[in-house]
Amino acid sequence: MAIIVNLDVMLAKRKMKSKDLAEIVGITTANLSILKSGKAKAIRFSTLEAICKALDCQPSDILEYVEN
Amino acid sequence: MKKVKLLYRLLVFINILTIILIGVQTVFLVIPDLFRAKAYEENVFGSFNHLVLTSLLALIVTGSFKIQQGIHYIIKDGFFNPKSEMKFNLAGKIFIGFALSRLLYIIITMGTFKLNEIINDSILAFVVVLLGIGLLIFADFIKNGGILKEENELTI
Repeated sequence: MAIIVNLDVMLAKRKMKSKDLAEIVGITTANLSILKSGKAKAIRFSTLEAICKALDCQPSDILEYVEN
Repeated sequence: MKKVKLLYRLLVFINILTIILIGVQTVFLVIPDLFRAKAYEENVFGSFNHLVLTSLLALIVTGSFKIQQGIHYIIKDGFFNPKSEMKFNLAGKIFIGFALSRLLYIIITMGTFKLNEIINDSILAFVVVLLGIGLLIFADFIKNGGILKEENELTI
């Protein structure tokens, strides 16, 4: 996959648990797990905005493009 | 979903009736013809004529049964599921196969039919071909719907 989700790294940096982030963002832990594992097909701008707000970061801190 | 359930019940009823009809036809027409080797000089297939017609009927019942199964999976697993797609695809192919076999039968036995019977049977066969193609398109709709559903579910 060309787009890498670095949510785990950001969570570790902010010392936040997945469960807490899911609660703040307003998504289920199952969906957050799908996002973290890279199985997600797409991410809504509203979800990305909420994650960035909760983790106080930029979208580029979470999503990274890697050439195959 | 009410209409789907109604269609399912109707199909179950029609399929049971047709299976009974096939049974009756087999017992009263096919088996006696084969055992007595009854000669139908006016028919191309001779004593196998009823066997051929019953086989065609069995083919269309198989297709109808596949549609019934497809609808059953729609009721059970929702509109977009791979099992329904597979069943409708198979039903479509069976219907097209039936229609082509029926057309072949009409061509082979052309001499024994009246012109209006040939025209009516041919039109019916073409309608069944259209129905088969319709089922194949419907199977494609289910497939694409399934992909869209999956993508929607995996959009966070």
